[in-house]
Parts: sequence; structure tokens; C-alpha cells
Amino acid sequence: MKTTVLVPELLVAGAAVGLFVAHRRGVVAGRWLASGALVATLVALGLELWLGGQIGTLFGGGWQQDRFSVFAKAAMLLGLAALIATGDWDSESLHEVLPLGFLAAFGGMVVASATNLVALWAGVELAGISGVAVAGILATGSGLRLLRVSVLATALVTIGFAYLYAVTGASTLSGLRQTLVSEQLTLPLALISLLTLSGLAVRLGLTPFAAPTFERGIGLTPVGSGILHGLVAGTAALALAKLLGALYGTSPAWSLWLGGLATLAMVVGGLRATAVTAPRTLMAWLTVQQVGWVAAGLATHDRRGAAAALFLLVPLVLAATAGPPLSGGADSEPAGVAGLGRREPARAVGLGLVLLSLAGVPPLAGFFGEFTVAAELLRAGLGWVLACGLLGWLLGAAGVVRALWLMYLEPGPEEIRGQRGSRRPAVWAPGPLVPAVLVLAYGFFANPIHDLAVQGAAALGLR
Amino acid sequence: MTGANLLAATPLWAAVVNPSPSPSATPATFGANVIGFSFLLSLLVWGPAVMAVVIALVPNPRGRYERWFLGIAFWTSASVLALTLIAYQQFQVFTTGVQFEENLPWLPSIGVSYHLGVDGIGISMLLLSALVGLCAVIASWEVRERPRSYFVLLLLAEAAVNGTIAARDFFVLLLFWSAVAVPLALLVAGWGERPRAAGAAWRLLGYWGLSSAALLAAGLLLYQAAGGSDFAIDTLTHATPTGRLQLVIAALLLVAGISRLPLVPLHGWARAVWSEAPTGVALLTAGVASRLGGYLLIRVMAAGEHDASRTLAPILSGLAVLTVGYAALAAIRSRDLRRLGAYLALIPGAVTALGVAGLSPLSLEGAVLSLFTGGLAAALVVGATAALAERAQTRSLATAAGLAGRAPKLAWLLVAACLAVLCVPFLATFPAGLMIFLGSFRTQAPAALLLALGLVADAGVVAWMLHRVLFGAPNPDAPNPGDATLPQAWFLGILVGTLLWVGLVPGGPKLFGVPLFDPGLVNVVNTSTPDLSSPYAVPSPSAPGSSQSPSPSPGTPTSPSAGP
Repeated sequence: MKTTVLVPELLVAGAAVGLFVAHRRGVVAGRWLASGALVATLVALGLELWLGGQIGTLFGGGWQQDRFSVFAKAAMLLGLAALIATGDWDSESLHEVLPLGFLAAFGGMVVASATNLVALWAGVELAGISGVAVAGILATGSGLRLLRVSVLATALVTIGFAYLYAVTGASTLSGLRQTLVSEQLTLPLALISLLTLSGLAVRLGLTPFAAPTFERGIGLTPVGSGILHGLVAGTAALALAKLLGALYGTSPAWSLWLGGLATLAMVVGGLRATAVTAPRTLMAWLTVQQVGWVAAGLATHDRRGAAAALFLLVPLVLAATAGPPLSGGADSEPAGVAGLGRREPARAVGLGLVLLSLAGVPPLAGFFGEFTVAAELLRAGLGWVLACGLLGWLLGAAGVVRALWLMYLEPGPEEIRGQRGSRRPAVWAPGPLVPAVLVLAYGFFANPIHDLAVQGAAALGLR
Repeated sequence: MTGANLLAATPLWAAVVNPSPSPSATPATFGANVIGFSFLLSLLVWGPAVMAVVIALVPNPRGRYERWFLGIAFWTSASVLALTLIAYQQFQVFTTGVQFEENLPWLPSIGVSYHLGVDGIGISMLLLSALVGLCAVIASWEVRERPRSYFVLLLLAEAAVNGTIAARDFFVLLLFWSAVAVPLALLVAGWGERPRAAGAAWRLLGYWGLSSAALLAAGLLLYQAAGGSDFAIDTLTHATPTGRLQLVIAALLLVAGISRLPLVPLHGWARAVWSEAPTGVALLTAGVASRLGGYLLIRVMAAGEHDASRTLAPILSGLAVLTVGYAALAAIRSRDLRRLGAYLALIPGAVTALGVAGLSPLSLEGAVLSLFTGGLAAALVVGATAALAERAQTRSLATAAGLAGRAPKLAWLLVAACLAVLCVPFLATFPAGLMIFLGSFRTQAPAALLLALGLVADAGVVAWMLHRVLFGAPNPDAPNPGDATLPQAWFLGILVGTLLWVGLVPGGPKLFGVPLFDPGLVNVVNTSTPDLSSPYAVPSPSAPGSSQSPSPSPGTPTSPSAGP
């Protein structure tokens, strides 16, 4: 396999380093820099889709390119592109935040191509540290609290990986899988599997770990929150999918546990979505709900379920990264989006469609993914998970309807103050329309995308 | 001569129950071979959606081209109607099965495909949608507030309705079924009569969201029962779930269906929407979007869940009776002209529900026919009351009185609307209602009797209302009323004209026994109903020695004696 397949990774890592260097050299951040970053991301995405069709390994088997990696990397790059396109770079600290976004995406790309526990760990940690750093730069208090949670997750994953290596003697994922399939499941092995997966669940933001992870993210700036909720959680989901493929032999230990966590996330996410009014908080809990659907797909521990989860992962990453920048500042009150449909039509359309997609409302990307997961849950005999998921779906949709109501039907602050006559002209920025178009178009291209997701799940070695 | 024989001897009855005499008698009709492409249904579904995007993108400097939006919407709806009429013409009435079929894989690994197609039920519903869609645009002639957004949403709603009707895959059905609610709710909220429009939109979203959730759950259970192979509606309706599961599925479908149709107790949205929405939106909702509930009950519940349908039939017929009774009581207490119209518009849905609950070949055929005729009647009564309230400049029944003298056109259109709702002869609702009552008298006798009595009560309410509003003494303190405007006369006239046409020649016009340009709605509907109703047919007593036929063969005309 040619090393040109590494060009997308080089571009992403190079962009991160370039932005750091530009900051050190005192280059003034402007919209042109954000535009350049967007172009670099899109070029990386195009190259990934073009060159990523190769299948093979590099660095003596330490790096792998397969259908899973091309699918996963495309998802991360799409999320990153949506983040850059929707971010308000006049008010964001571009030099500090954007490089960390690139690093988080790079972490996800490392996970996507990882063939051993070390690379998997490195990718997850790189993304996780980027998230903590974003929080630390932008809000010290949130950063410190997130750091504690992150240390816990790191400890769980590190101990788990070390124990797995000690028990099986295999550091590669394929070796781990072969050993565990032939080995009898013991209580310590089951416990350590659960411990490792719990570490990843913290990063992913599955309930009950959503509160420390996602609620911290609400306090960040919009782009920071997008990095944490979309790119870091997306990386954790990819790592979970890869690890579950390797831990196939211990599936009796974790499938019920993961199903339970997924159920909890779907129901609690939906319940909280109906109870909250601030747009950023609503977005966070809808993300938790959709993370639950992804986890439910993985809990089926077979190829079709994992494919459905991967198919849903793309809309999740897309909406979770683009959503917070669209919903405004961390201190945004419900009234902040009131009348948004008239003030900023493009942003209102983008925010509305992203919220609807996160809630799984047809005919948007999230619905396609959740429907596919639902069909697989039924086939796998996890009807109880599906029943709870449908309940959460209804609740989440109700929460979104209220937000739409505010955006389109309630008067904005200016209108309340009686400034209807002197209303400013509507703002038509094209950036917010990028995620809107993507969540709308996803369903039209569902066939090839889902096909690629099936091939990706097959590459994980699942049956 | 018995009553049934007397009925069978009448030309109207013969036309209703007997399709055209023979296949060879079908001449080359207008529009034959015009449609030679295989994406007709996609065009009917996506055409309005594409034109909605065009309207959204057309530049409109300083609001100079705002009337263009109306023009684009009008010509789009007119083209959809023309295409549907040609498709209706070309529909093969002597074959069974799905026509104009399109099938592309969409999510093949879970068996989802972009599968469209229509049978006799589908083509009649498409015709209803196209007719009511055009009337809705004409009824929106005077919309001046944010016309771009209005017509974009109206065309999107029309596209979603057409998609629901044409869907032959459950996933596609669910997509469009859910999608209908969003533009309609936004239309009600954005252009309805304030301050109650917001509440009406919320209710619409709530009830229709519930129906979408119930449909999703039912579809997934059917998918599991069918072995998880695919989501084709034919596959799902041929699944044989166990008794209890089948009952759960049918109950979910029932909830989904009656919250759209609507029937008591899931009718809460209807009064609010039909009385507060702008006339065009009320027309579209009452005329076709709500009929999708009945369509679902027939297409999926009655066609697939035979045992559970029999079990739930008394509940469904009971709800139909309750709805008709509720409509009478609520209408007599109403002091608002538009609300009164909204209550009366509940009646056609209840009649359709009785037809579904009847579960006999005749009542099911009547139910299918009543989807079309009831949709027209509901749209007409909602539209006529809205137009009258607008021209009388008041909604209050205490103020509006003796309007017939000053608004004669509107007065007679309202009379026709009320008569249509009550299923009187010479209007299209009559043959449908007659088939339903005759078909359901054996299986659901008490409900059919009570529903007939309810209709009598409704007739009393209608007579009182018409006397008061139209023919009573004029109120000198009331604002000066005007007669129907040209657009109002047109859209109400189209609806009345269609009701009269189908009522007078349900089997299509014939010259010396040869069908002319219209194959006849009853004949078209008849191509699908034998398949649908064959599981419910009671074996007819046969002569000694002859073999028994448990069900009429597909395509065989159903006679009154073929009923239970």
C-alpha cells in the first residue's frame, strides 16, 4: 500500500501545527484563516475518500487502512468541516481553539486506523486531552472539573488495556480477539472488560457518565462545546466499536451492560430534553440520547448492528459538532433563540434541522440512522431497548418542537421592545446552511453510505 | 320485491356495484399513451417539492414578485392534477395489483426500498389529493402575508401527502406520514387566526406525533413478525403474527389511524385546526391529510391483521358512533360558524370508520369510496363555512343571520356542503354511505343503526344552522356581508362539481354502454377491494354439487348479494 494514503492525516496534523505556529508568530487571526482551515479539511476529506479505498497496512502492521477506517475518518472530517463552517470566528479564539479541534479529529483518525491497544489508547487520549485543553483555555473552572473526569476515564482505560494485555499476551486487536474467542470467560476478565468499556463510556458521554462529561461542555464556548460533544465523543464511539470487535469473546459480559447504558441514555436524554429550555442544554441532552442509540446498535454485538451504529455515527458527529455553534453562547437563554427565524434565517434553518436530526425526526439523517438501529435491535431480540428508545424519541422530539416554536413563532427581544419597524435586515450567513444541507441530503445517499458502513463493520471482524 | 332488490334495480345502484361491462368495451381514452415513463409517481411526489424549492429561491427584490409565488404554486398544482387525471385515465381497471410501480433499493441490508405504486385505492386518493391541493391553492388566493413561505409550505405538504399515498414500502410511508405534519403545523401557526392558531398548531403536532410514533412501533413489530426480511407493505401485511402480537399491532395502527382521521377521543386537533387555520390549509387538512388515517386503517390494518381487525371492529364502530354523536352535540352548542363547520367535518371520517369496522366486502368497498367522497365533503364544509365567515365579516352565529339573500352563491354552496356531509342522494357521499351501511348492518348492526340515528341528529343540527344563518331574518346590526369572491366560487365550485359528478355517474359516463372519458371511480376502486376484502367474505350458499368459492376472485365485481 502506498504511503500517500497518509496524506489526509498529514494535512489534519499539519493544519493543527500550522495554526499553533501562526499564533506563535503573531499572525492575526481572521476569517481567511478559518476559510483556509476549512479548505484544508475539505481537501483532506476528498483525499480520504479518493485514496482511502486502498486496503492494507503500513509501519509493520501498526497502521491499517480498511473500510472501517475510511468510513470513520470521513465522519470525523465531515464533523470538523461542519464545525469550522458554522463557527463564529469573530468571537471565538481561533488560534487557540481551532488547532485543538484539528487535534481531536486527528485523534479520531488515529483510532480509526489503530491495530493495537497502544494506538487505540493514544488516539482516544489525544482527542480527550484536546477536549480538556479546550475547556481549560476557555473556562478554567469547567476545564478543571473536566480534567478530573478525564483522568478517571484515562485511568480506567489504561488499567483495562494493561490487564487485557497481561491476560491474553496480545497487544494487537486481532490477537486479542483470537485469544478471547478461544478463552473461557472468567469473572476477572468480565470485570476488566466492563472497567475498560466504562472508561470509554465516560468519554462517550453515555448516561450516567453524561452528566460530568456533557454538562461540563455546556459551559464552554460554542466551538469548544462542539469539539467536546462531537469530535471527542465521536472518537470514543469509534474506539468503542473497535474494542467491542476485539472483545467479541467476552460479549456475554458486556452486551447487557451496554444495552442497559444505552437504554438509560436514550430515556434520560429524552426526559432531560423535555425538561430543559436553554438551547445549548437541549442540544447536549439530545446528543446524549443519540449516543444511546449508537451504543444500542453496538450492543447487538454483530455486524449488522455495528453497521447501523456506524451509519448513525455520521449524523451524530455532524450534528453534535455543528449544533453548539449554531445554538449560540454558553449563557444563551431560551429567549436568545426567540425570533431567530426572522433575525437570522440561515442560522435558524441550520439549528432547526440539526436539532431535528439529533431528535431522530424524519426525514433527516438522524432518523435514517435511528431507524436502522431500531430494525437491528428488533432482529437481535433487544425489543426492550427499542421500546425505551421509542419513548425517549417521543420525548426528545417534543423538546425540539418547543425550541422550533421559540425560533419561529415567538417574538424576538427586539420585537418585544417594539422595534418591529426598525428591525435590522435578516442576516444570511451561508455557513449554518452547511450542516442543514448535509443532514437533509444524507437520506438520499443512504444506500451507498450504509453499504460502506456494512463493509466497515465487517472490517471490525464482527459476524 | 325486497328493499335490496329494489335498490339493485336502480341505475345508480347498478353503476355503484357493477363496474363497466367488459374489458373490450374500454376505448382508447384521452391521454392514452401520454405517460410512457416509469417515474410518474415520483413526479407527482417530488414535483411539488422541487417547485417549493424554486419558490424559496426565486429572487424577490422589494417584494415585487410576490404574486409569482401564487402563480407557481397554482400551475404546479394544476399540472399535478392534469398528470393525475391522465394517470387515472390510463389506470387499468380490469387488472389487479400495483400500477405505475417504481422500486429502487434504498437501505437494502434492512430491506428498505424506495418503492412507489398505486392500486385502485391509491389512484383515487391521488386524485383526491390533486383536486384538493389545487382547491387549497385557489383558496389561498388572497394570502398576502409572507406568501413565499406560505406557498413553499403548502407545496411541501402536498408532496408529503402524495408520498404517503404512493408509498409501497413502510419506511417510505412513515417518512411521508410524519413529514406531512411539519409544514401543516407551521402553516397553521404562522397564518392561522390569532391568538388561537398557536394552540391549534401545537395540538396538530402533538396528535400527529403520537400517530407517527404508533405507526413506527406497529411497523417495526410487523417487520419482526415478517421475519425481518424487508419493509415492503405487501410483505408486512402478509405476515402472520401471533394472536396477542397481532392485537398489539392492530391497536397501534388503530391509534395511528384514528388520530389522523380523526375519531373521538383523538379528535382534539381537528376542531382547533379546521376552525383556526387559513382556508387553504384547513381545506388540505380536512380534505386529504386527515383521510390518510382511513387510508392506513384500510391499507395496513384491515388488509393485514384480519383476526385483530375483527376483534377491534366493535371498538372502531363504537368510536365512529361516538364521533357522529359528538359532532351533533358539539355543533348544536357551538356559537362559532367555523367551529360548527369543523364539527360537521368530523362526520365523513366516522362514516369511513364504520365501513372499515364493517369488515364485509361491501362495507370495505364503501369505505374506500368514502375516503374520496368524504374527503371532498369535509373539505367543502370546512371551506364553505370559512368563506362565509370571511365574507360575512363575523364568525359568530349570533351575528350572522339571513345571509342567503345577500350571499346567494355562498349560501347554496354551504347547503350543498351540508348535504354532502349527510350523505344525501345525487352527491358522491351517498353511494359510499349506502354501501357502508348495507355492508355493515350484518356485522355491526347496533353501531350502524346508531350511526344512522346520529346522522339524523346531525341533519337536525344542519337544518337549524342553515335556517338561522342563511334563511332566517337578517340581523340589522351585522356587518354588511358580501357574496363569494371569484376564487372562493371556483374552489367551492370544483368541490361541489366533483361531488355531483361522482354522485350522478359513479361508474363513469357511458354512451350506448360504452364508457366515455371517465372510467368511473367505482370501477377504479373495485380493482383493489376484492383482494382487500376476500379474507372477510362469507362463503355464499351454493347450489348442491357446485364448489364453494370462499372469496370473489380479484377483479370480479362485487354484487350486493356477495356481502355477508
